Amino acid sequence: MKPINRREFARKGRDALLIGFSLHRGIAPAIVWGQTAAPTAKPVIPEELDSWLSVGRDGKVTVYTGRIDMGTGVETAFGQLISDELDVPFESVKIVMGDTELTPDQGKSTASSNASLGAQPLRIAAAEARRILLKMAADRFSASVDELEVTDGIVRVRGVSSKRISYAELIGGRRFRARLDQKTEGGLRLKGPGELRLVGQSVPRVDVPAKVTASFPYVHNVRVPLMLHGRVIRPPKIGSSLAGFDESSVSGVAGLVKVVRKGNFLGVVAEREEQAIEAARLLKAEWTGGRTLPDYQDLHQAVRGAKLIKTDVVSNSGNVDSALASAAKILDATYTYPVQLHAMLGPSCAVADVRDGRATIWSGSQWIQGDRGNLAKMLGIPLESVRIIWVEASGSYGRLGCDDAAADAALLSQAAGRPVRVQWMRHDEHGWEPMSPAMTMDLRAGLDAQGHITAFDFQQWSQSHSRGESGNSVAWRLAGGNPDWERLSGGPYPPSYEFGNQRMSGHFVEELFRSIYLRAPGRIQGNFAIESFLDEVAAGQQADPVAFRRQYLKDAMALQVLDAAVEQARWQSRPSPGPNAGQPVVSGRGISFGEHGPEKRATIVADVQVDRTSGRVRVSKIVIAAACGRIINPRGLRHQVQGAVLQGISRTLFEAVKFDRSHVTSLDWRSYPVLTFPDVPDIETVLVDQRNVESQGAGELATVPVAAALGNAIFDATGVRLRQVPFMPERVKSALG
Amino acid sequence: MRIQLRVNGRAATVDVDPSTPLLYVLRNDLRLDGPKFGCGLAQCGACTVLSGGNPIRSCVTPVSAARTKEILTLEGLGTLPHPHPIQQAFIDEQAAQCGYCISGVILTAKAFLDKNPDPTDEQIRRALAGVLCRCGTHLEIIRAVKRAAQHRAKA
Repeated sequence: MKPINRREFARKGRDALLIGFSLHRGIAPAIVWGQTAAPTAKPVIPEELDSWLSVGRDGKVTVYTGRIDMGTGVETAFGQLISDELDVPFESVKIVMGDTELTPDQGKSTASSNASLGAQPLRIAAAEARRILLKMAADRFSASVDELEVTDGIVRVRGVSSKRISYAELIGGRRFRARLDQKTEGGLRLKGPGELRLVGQSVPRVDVPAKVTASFPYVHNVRVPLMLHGRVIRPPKIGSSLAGFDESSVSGVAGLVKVVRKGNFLGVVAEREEQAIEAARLLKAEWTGGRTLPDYQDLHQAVRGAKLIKTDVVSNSGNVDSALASAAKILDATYTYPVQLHAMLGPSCAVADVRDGRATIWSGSQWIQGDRGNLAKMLGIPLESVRIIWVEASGSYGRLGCDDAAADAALLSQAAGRPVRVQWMRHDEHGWEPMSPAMTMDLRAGLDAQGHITAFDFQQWSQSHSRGESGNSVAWRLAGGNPDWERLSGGPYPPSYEFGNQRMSGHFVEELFRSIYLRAPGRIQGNFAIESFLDEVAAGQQADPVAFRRQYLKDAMALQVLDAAVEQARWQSRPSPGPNAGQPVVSGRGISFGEHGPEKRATIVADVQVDRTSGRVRVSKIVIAAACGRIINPRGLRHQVQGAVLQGISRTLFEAVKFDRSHVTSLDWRSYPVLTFPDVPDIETVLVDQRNVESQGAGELATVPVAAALGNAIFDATGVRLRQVPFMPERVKSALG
Repeated sequence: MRIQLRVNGRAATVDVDPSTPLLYVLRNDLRLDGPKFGCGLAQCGACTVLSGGNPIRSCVTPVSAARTKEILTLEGLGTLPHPHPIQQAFIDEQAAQCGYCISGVILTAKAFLDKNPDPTDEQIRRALAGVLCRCGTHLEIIRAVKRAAQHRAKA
């Protein structure tokens, strides 16, 4: 298997020219990206089969998808799915991702939906192509389709060795010219679990060899002829106005091409990257006004007190108020979750070439079609004149600054009249990426005389996770004229527990920071609150946390993953807190059950050690059981699950965006620490394969139950309940008293 | 100013301001895209290259200070057709997700293994404490470094 060839072919096949290839070891082939090469004329409308798939004269299959890979192995998984559906070798499938001129619109690559919604039309296209090819072969051999079999792209009449023909011979280099009905009801059938060869196999990822040998084409490596480098200068406060700037402050910077101002948008363009950085650092600008931020210590009061936009009641069963009124006992607690960052390791980057009324933009965008429309409006040029070419960026864990960098580069290129590459500085990324908003959650449980929960009430205050959507880029906001984005998302999600009387409401409030989805938005926060609170209720009755949960969990899939984790962790049934040895370092175990959408369930059992003197929490072991439908690639899934757990530990123990009254002060890795290698626990992962449930993406599920599992383990160790993420040493120490 | 460097076993001459961080010279002048810009503050390790066998942060190293020693980037370690055993170990363990950190990780691991041929897991964790990975590939990376050490012991 030579996986990289697929991707290289795909890249070259669009518009990259391979030049300067040196035979000397250690000098990489440089890829020059140009917009002059016209894309192969092909349809991109979803209703035509040729939009999705082609078979070359050499039998190679090219699949075109609007979905993109954020470093999670989607390209490999798509290759497995297509290979199985079409009956061709994995090595012969090339995936072309994210190019507005080549790939059909498939919406956003978000919400862990690539493996389900993203893959579905590709599988349908492959199945339809196979059906047409079999029909062609049947006509050729005057046989019926039922007499045919296909292996590795070769169609044979069963039992007649002379009657065989390849896909390449049947259609190679030509179009199908067939309509594609995206519904599977009309006779088209996707393969069932018993017919799959590669789905379920740990096929090695196609991108890894190139990534570890420095030959992978990241968006950061895109270079086009005449390209300049740009950097942006952001205001000192959100909403500040640019009164003016002093051009003489940068007159000594060699290579400076231009200072660009548009409204409150300010940037510099220079011949070389370090020159642009220097100019952005030196440019003296005068800003006035701007929004005063709340006191950081009062963040959650500020969230609760901010102007209410809308309340969504997401669940309301029975009568919570009367059940509470008649309860023998009421427990309540408030949980808070901070503002957090995606904090991608490679700051946002894009290259834009905006000239002569046309724009070509190379971007790590997760929503190329949305970004295309927005950039066209922002630049004032027709939609058809804008081409967005996705190139893989640094890992993202929700939508983040990629589209922002694209907007920056586009404005700078338009003003400079040459292509401009922008990469954000670290302080741009930390200070201005669209963030995960703070949340405050009030929980109440009404108990009957036996301690049974009869009423459950959950009220959440949060700004929407969608305020940083496309069209709300920093650049467009600063330049003026951007549409405000009204979609509200990231509210609470009702858990699978059945409490009889249950009410959950999300109160969306006015924004503090521009916000967007960060891995399991709404769920990660709600799960922390609910699973910690249930632990409180269980502890109040000296009940074992697992046995207590089982009383309210009826969902079979939920119980299956709960049991799997409990068994793997050799869970000892007893109430929390555990026997406390009174040592300076105490150990504890905690459990949390989490879910993501109707088909995905996970349970985590965490072992922690708490140093009472320093307040430092060390996670020593994680056991996780996860179910997310039919497993496409077990090793890839395990990797995703573990990665999500580790990021969850990082978010739980270390991460909170701090700010003063003017701006974010968590502007680097010291002021926004994340998990490092010495913090990493052992992880045991149990994958629950559901062969008869369609495959579901796993990027978010495993991160959902982490915070509560750790908080519950800390309670088990110390008897102290933490209701505020992150569990930083000073906070833990102070709680321990 | 013309500055002579030795990078990946070859001589290279660049004409840049001597205060230019080595990272931009490697990437933009020599087209060696292995080292990545992560923070510009020597905090994340994405820009790590080896200088005389020792890891340095190329984002804060002026090119003028890099003249005296041999520089090694990920491109100089091995190639796609002929990966270095450490790179092969990372392939075998599938130790990359987005891969943005991986150049710095592999070069840090190489310098570490050169001095510590038979490390424990704990030593590997400590050796990699200064390189950040945001995707959560830590466990695969630790296994890959361990595998590379075992390969070296056998060789």
